[in-house]
Amino acid sequence: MPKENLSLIQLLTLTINFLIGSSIVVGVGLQAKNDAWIALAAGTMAGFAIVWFYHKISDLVPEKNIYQIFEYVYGKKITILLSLLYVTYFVYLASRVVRDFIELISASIMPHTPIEFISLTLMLLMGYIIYLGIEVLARITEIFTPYILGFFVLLGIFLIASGTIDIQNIKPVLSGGVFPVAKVVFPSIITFPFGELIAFLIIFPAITKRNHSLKFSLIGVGIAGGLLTLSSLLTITTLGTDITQRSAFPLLSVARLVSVGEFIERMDSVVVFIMMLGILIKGAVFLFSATKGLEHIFNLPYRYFAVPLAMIVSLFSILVSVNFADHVEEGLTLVPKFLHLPFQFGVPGITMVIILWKKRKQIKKRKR
Amino acid sequence: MLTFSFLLVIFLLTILLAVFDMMILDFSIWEALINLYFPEVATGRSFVYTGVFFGFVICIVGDFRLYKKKKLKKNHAERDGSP
Repeated sequence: MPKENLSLIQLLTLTINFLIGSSIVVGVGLQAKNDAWIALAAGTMAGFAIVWFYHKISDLVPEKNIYQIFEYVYGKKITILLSLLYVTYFVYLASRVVRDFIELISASIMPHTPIEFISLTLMLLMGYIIYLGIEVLARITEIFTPYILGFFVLLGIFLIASGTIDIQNIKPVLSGGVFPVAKVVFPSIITFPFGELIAFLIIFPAITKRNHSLKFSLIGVGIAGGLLTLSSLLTITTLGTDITQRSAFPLLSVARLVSVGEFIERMDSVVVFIMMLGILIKGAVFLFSATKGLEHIFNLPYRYFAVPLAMIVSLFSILVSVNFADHVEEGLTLVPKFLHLPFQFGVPGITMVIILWKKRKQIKKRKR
Repeated sequence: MLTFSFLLVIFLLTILLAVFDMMILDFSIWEALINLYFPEVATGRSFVYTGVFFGFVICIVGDFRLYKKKKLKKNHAERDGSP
């Protein structure tokens, strides 16, 4: 199977888009009310540690993805079981991300189109991208990321020009103390979106200049965290805490308020573009991670699995919840506890400890 | 193997979603499974079911092609090995 190569810039743009992904659609850390931006800034600091942790695991067993690392650590049988669990986890996450997307599209631009049709068309596209390879996905992000950054800056400028921003909305700062914010950072923000970078353990081995990849991953986390914090600040200062919490898509509601001289209006299309690209990238990265898992288990090229798995994601994006409220409830209460924590920190943490132990044993043996 | 992996992933995800529905909606496992695949309102489900059928057909075709490739390789090996 030919090795795929990604440049450092592609890693950077993939990280930015992956982290922005669905987090910008539904809004992160809103439970912290008007301190959501502080929670996000603190979460970004934790994000640096998380990306370092995943990078360290990848560095300890170089040139190997998470499934190959499992095989190195646990042996063949346990690896098959773990890989199956991770494939299920990644497909489930891809389904959730796609569900976010279809809810956004049906609420904002295509209210009369059946959500199943939106899901199917998006997944056919995603399946095709993965069939062509991760390099194609990386090139997409490389091309579109400057637009995303530009649109963010424009949105900020237009909101200020519209006079809708009221800085008083972020006051009182930390009125309840640090504890409520810390409660939002852990586990909510740490697991979503930063912990989801576990999928990058499949991408890291494809980076050509490995000695600089950590630096670029950290920069990516910094930029994405900054954008998320900025979007949180914009929504709180524009809408206020109450409306932000009640809104299903806060940033979209903010963009609808842009009106400069009654001429520059309807900026929501720009926000939908940012969200669409983010979700396409995030969903595709999860899909890629799942196909790589099946590649490892069944010893077949991952491209064989791309379209069938995309169709499964399409089905489960509909089955995953009855409605949007159920979807959010599941995402806030069950998923972090039962899926994110064990898959993002539990298994990788144990794996890292065993790798370090094995390495130390090898060094001792060599010394003797 | 492709078809098997396809069915396996569907099975595992069904179990996961059923468990989550059991926890949130206090369903039994059968109620959760029935609710998952036979909901009261399912207007546009035919789109995604068609997609899944399309994925299933791709898997069968892929498996058939892999089987043919394997058979061809075996025949070549036998021919090369014969005096």
